[in-house]
Amino acid sequence: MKNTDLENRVSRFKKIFNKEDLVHPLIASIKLKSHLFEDIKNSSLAYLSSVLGEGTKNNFDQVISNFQQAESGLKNVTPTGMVLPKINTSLEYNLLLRSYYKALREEYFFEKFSFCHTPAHLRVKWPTVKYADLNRPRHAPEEMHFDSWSGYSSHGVTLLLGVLGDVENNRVNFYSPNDHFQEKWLIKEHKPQEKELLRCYSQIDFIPPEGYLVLLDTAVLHQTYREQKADIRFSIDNIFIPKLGLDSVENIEYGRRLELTDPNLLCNLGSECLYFCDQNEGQIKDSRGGSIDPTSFKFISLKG
Amino acid sequence: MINFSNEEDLYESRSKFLESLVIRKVQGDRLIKKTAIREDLFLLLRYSCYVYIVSCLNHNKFTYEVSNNFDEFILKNAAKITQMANVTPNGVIRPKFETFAEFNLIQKYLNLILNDLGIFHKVQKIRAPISIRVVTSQDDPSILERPRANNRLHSDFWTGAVCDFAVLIPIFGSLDTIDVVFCEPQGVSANYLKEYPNYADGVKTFDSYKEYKTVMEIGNLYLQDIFCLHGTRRRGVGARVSIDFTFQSNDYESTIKPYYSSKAIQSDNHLDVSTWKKIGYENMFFDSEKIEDAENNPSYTLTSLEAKMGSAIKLQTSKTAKMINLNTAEEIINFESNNAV
Repeated sequence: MKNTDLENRVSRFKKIFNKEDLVHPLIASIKLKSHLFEDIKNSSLAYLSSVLGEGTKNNFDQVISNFQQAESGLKNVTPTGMVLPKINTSLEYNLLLRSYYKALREEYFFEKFSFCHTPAHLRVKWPTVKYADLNRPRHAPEEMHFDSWSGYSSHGVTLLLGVLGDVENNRVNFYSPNDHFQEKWLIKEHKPQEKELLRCYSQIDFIPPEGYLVLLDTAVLHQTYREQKADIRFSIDNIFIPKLGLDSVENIEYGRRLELTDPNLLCNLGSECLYFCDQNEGQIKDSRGGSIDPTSFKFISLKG
Repeated sequence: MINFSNEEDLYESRSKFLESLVIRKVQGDRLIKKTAIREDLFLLLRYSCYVYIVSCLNHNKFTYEVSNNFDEFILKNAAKITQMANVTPNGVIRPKFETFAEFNLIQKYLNLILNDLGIFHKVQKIRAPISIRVVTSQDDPSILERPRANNRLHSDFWTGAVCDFAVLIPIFGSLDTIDVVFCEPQGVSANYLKEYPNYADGVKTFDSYKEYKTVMEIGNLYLQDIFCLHGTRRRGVGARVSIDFTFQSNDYESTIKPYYSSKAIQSDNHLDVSTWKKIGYENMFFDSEKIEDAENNPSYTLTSLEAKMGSAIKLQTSKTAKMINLNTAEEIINFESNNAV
């Protein structure tokens, strides 16, 4: 039986990405330019230092372990691991995101996207999951999921980049759909039983190497996965919307549609524009059960 | 007011004044003190200066040699850094439109350092923007001959700095070859506290000077009294990046301010501590001038006599600079009006 929705997605993926970058018909893996990846790592360390409220001696090596030790005292980390920017970390956050978008802009696929959901986040994945964090209003990242279940576009491409820490053992597992895939499953209201999903999906044997960006179609089921020996990991995830549409109807929640931004603009964070994260440490924005981004910010244009 | 009749008492009191500014142990000579910066904060400051300079090089479209070692990076690329369009003849690397976020990050980390030293309780105003400066052994000789060239011994008072002390922080480079010499003037007259367009005239206001043993070392912050003579010292091949900015202490109004001319006071670009402390948080120092504009119209090389002198404090702030409050996205300070003469 031919699945036209799936074929349409595969066809679009082929048009967006070079053949040699496809590790699966719906997953691309692309090595970022080394010096730009280093910039992302350094700006991430500077951001994490500012979140901790302290630096480290001699070099940034201790930041990751200091962050791990501070786990219980950190007020600005969400249950899904978003390290939220606040007024005291706003500048570093802008510089981190700029380094990220600038690295993406150097790649051929960048111009094939019209929008991205914003703001993107540096996310921490602790070595072990907390039981309480698994009980999320929508789903925990540790459960197999589509990002569209969080209201993001069903036509999106998710970009994942392991930045710091144990990106090999504390990673994401990917699952490939077969022809029994149903487009409606991408909408939270039509979320199928896990049994049904397992019948239509099989795990992909792919572990992204360090410095590689992974880009996956929304129809790729995925989950946070930790080996027993897993250590802390930091990564950036962001959902982009390709210029090339799909035949199916796009589903995107209203709150998420408001998050769509031209990624070219974000390459100029810190000059033409700036996220001003206006909450103090410990202040929490109501994310309406995970339907909108939990970052409180004003997006300021400085172009004029 | 200052009693010039007893120089020993004067310098001893200035020495105590400098010691009182910070809560940490200070060392040094009477008119120049050093105190160690907390290592973790110093790393952040070095990182932010590195990121700022790299960003400036990128926006100047300069290629540069990459190095994981900050000091090595500066030494390898010093010549290019001095040639950037946003660098003044005296080596100040000015923030521009494209680099304002990185620049504000430097201000933010300085804020953390000053807070750690407890200095905010002792001062009323601090200059903004701070100067991040590159000095090399290869600087143009014509710059070194200018009447207010930094290599000539001088007091900050002579430049109309409207302050009573300054902070210097060496960030990167080879301080064994490029540093600052600090000296104590002896036999000073009341004319020492006057503004001089030519440092050679200021030198006539004291009989002699004693060179201090205090030298610049990475990892330290230097508190430099307004009476301290100082100048860039080149002893070999190398380069240095340092930060300098000036302060008005709680004593400034009653002691040093009366000696400044009304012209200098009108050009005061010191900000209240409360405003300065918010830079890098809700306040951003912002310049609408782009680096490419600076390439076409470098305001610091305007043909005015004053600009050619070099080092006039009011010329260290771009005329297109503003302070923006991000809560309101409104300008809270327009430096151009502060520069009105």
